[in-house]
Amino acid sequence: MTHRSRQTYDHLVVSTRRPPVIIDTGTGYTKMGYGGNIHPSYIVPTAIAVNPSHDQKAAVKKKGAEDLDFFIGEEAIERSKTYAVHYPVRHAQVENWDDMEHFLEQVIFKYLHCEPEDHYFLMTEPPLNAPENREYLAEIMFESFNVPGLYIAVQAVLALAASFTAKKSRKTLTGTVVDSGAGVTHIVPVADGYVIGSCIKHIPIAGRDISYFIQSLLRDHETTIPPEDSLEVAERIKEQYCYVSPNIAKEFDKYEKEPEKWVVTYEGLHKKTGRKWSCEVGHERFLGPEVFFNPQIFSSDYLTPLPEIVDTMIQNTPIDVRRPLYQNIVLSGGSTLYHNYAKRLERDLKKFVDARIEKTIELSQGRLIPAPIEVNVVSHKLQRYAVWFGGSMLAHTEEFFKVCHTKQQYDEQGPSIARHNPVFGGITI
Amino acid sequence: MILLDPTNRILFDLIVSRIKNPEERIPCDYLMADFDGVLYHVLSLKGQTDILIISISIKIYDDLCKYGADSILHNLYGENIIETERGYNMTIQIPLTGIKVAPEKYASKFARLKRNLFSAPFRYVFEGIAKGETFKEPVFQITYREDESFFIVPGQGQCTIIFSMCFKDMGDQVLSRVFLQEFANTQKAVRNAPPVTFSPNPPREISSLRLSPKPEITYISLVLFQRHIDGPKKATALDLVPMIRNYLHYHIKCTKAYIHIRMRARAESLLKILNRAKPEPIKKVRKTISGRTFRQK
Repeated sequence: MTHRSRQTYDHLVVSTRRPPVIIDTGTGYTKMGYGGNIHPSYIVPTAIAVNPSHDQKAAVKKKGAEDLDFFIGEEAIERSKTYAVHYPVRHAQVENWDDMEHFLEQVIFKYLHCEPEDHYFLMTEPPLNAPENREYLAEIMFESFNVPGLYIAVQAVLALAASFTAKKSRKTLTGTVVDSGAGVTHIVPVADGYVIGSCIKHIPIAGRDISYFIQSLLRDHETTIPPEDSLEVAERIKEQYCYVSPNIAKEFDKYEKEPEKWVVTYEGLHKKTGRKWSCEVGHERFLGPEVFFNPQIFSSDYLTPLPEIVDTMIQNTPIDVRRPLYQNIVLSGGSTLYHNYAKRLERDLKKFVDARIEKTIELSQGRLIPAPIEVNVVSHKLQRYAVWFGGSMLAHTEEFFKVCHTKQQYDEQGPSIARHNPVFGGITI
Repeated sequence: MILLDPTNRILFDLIVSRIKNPEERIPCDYLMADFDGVLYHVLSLKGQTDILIISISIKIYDDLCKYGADSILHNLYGENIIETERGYNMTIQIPLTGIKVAPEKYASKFARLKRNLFSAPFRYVFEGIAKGETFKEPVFQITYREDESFFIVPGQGQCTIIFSMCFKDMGDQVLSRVFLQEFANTQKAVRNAPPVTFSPNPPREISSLRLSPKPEITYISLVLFQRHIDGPKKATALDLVPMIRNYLHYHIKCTKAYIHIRMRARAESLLKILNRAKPEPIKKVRKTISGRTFRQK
């Protein structure tokens, strides 16, 4: 963005006192904050703890304000003993709109502490979201919260926009997005800001599975870990120590030869007794993320490695976008943060691509030599909440206010306006 | 959550986490909003990450200053106030090291910046009443939003606070009326509660201002007596009274959400009934050409 437009934008925001609100509700975590910032203000679990006496079916019998007695995020998890904890989002799709509406109440009034009638909102949706879901969301935002404007963006497109900050980035809205969060991994092709819906692939392996895998590995050789904390410990270890290795066999060798260099000790406190305990973390460090590249070590029913899926997915797309899709593979989500993840993916993909080119040459007996295909996996610092950051960046343009659906339009036409959201992203940095 | 917290949660958590974890003190530049059109600019500069700089912008700053906002802020934040950033009304810097009190207590002082600023005229009147002062102006008026103002009418040992509230949405107007009705009725059940009245016409106390009634504007007035604003109750009153507008808006939104839940449940049960009412497919007896019938098992 040029300096001048940044100034006019700031003027616009300051004069109306309206930094847009960006809310990205994922399966695991909800990221929320104000547009134009680098970091979201809050990253909280997408969980809601409701008063057990306020059952939604028994809502008719309500006496007092039980429907307001609920907590979200970390506070909800803390109260899991006395309240009923629900997760309104499953597999990136909102399953329970009652809980979602309550969830948003506190997101806006308690966490972001703002008047929704004053701010434009940017919300996100997963690829292949049903248009009905978009309508439901528009209904909640416009009717319950009276927001002046709403834009529902596709997560993959925002992740592409977020990658503009990377040095390697081509700054286009064409690319492949590998979005791996807690629940599911999507591989989404995007051409000029439009998702090619028929080619999207899902992999049932994501962050939570890696945690389970590490948990089971640890269970085999460590006895000191308190069983009730074992999943949490596995998660910590995953976040702190895991990395992607170029070659497992060599990596095993390394650990064999110099265990003191590679094996780390994890120290923890027993939650109830307060005693200290420690365990050794060895092969888990590289075997955890290896699940993406060799799924057979973890599951017996899902066997295709991630690079192969990416490759076949790109081969399924229209021929004219394949090259740009290979050139701009963007990572997003917490489960892509492992060290060397991008490198490994790039290397493995390159193998497939090169093999295909060689085959062509061989079949044509050297008469046909295709131009080499560039494979480029873009990794950047804000990958963890790339979707939120992309939203924050796009909402920080004047164009955003033009593409939003406004309350007037909603009142005129109804929720069907949200069925279509125009693509925007004509930003230059 | 029934009452809204006047503390800005984002600021609070930001300060606490930065005090507790030195590794979180990364340079930052955030723009954030709060109720009543308040805007914060939070800045932590490279090389000086032990200091957090917060600028606040509020549209009615000059009006608030008329009623002693700046002296209150100077008392509270005296040593923290630095040169005001351009485009903002006040800038304070918060050192994150060498803190003697609990981090939470320290942080909440700064996270209540907006509350302290916005409640200044109320505090001014409450303190005046406690001292038995008489005020020069019969009515204080502060227009804090486009078509919304609040009025304070100080009197002997009591004051009347009037909020003019604008509900643009038709549905909200209806809900607000029901809600306020309930508000006014509850006063009978709760002893010592301040009397609350509401009307679409400007109340008598502010008739001197010659405001003309508008269909979308409702006036809510509450009378606070000395017993509501004495000693420790003053702080609670200052927390709650200036937030009335947001409180009402929050609850109207929650009411709508609740109605939506009921509507969804009702629609679902209606669908079930409709599905039950579908006529069962008529069983046809199939015959072969020779007139015999099949019986499928």
